[in-house]
Amino acid sequence: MNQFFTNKKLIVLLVSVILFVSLVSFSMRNTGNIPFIQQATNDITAVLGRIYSKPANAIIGVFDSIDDLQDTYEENQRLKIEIDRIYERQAELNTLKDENDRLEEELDLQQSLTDYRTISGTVISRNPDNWVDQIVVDRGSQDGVEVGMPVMSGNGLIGRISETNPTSSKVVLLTNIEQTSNQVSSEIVMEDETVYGIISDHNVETNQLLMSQITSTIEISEGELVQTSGLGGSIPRGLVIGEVEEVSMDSHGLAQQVYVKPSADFNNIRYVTIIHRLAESGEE
Amino acid sequence: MANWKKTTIPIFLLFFTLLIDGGLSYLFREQLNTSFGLMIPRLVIITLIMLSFYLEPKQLFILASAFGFIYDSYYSGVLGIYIAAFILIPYLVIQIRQLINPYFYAIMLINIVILTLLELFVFGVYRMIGLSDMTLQLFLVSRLSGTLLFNTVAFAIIGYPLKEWIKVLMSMEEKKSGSGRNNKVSIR
Repeated sequence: MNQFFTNKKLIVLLVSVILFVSLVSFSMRNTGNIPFIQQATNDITAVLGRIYSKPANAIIGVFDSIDDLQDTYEENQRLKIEIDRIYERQAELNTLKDENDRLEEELDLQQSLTDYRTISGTVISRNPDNWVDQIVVDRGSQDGVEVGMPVMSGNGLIGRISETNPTSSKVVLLTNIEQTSNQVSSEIVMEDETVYGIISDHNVETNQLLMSQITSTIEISEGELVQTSGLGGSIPRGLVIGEVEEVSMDSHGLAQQVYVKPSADFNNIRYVTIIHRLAESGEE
Repeated sequence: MANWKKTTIPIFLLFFTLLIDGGLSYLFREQLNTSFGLMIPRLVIITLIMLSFYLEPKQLFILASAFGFIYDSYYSGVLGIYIAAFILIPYLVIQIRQLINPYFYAIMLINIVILTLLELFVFGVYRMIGLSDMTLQLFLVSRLSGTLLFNTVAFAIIGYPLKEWIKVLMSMEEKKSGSGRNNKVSIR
């Protein structure tokens, strides 16, 4: 009898380990194209999650606005000065836009890499264990969200859509270590030339993104703006990623790498903008 | 009809704490990311451990696998890790509850042990499948300490009302059905 029990336990253990390993590998393989039952579970949970995330957001919004109120005067002075400058820039921008439109018409360009549509959404929850740094937002495939679309929050790029359900979707953040999820083709537009590179890593301690594979001959100064280049599939050109904070050579001494201070605050994401590029990527 | 509270209230408790975990970690991310490590809210695990001391094994395993699936599917998208973890927790607790009485402080200590095991298990799996490149030392310092601290404090706050609520629920059930099956495991 005792023998029988140990055998039975062993078989149960073996079967469950096999099931466990196959489940993990199965679900890691097909990201983005998830089975119906999982979609249904995610959506039902997301609907219930919204019940408390809405009031919580509202309450925190009140606290935020009290915080804002405290330094309103200084901010107002600063903004007034900035507005004066913006008027000039607006006029310049209008003429440039007009000119650009006419030139595009002449060249018969349909869609450029900078054209995009936005879908705005609210964050419902975030993965508590931060091994896979993901957030859940309340927009899904019914709103036109597709896997691979870039997501902005505040001033900068934060990640891309990794999974869509009918009414909710998951955003995988740039802070992840998984290479396929966080590589973004980026560029630094300087006065005389443009530098291309790839955002490929994130340092948790210093909160810096690493932009690598940059030609070693170009001199890059600190404080330059890093933005997406639009060359990597579904991300349009001109989304801000951050600022250059530190320039160095990589470990082999063959290419330069740039440490980028991200414009988005990865610790405080409450509202997101999902970007839908209008130009075809030619990938699908 | 007699059983409806016994089935729905554990489901409600687990679901509620699961959502709270996600909510806490996005609303208070800055506060949770302290100097002595990142705190991971694990209220759903606390609830599961507490329920494991009182519910029947069959119901526990069904609940655990269902909520493990929800946790995996909703938060990370990598199925299997939390399903396994959630099923192992009641299994462990059922072994333990045959040996000791469910005193508050005893549960608190068991809670710490199980949370440590769980964190190590999840870390090990993520390390194996290549979604993390953290070393064990860094993990112990930057994740485990903060998480244990947060959840022990959380347990001290929500543990007692939770325990009393579940106890009231179970005793109510016994009076109605008159079977008293649950007493057998908890008092021995």
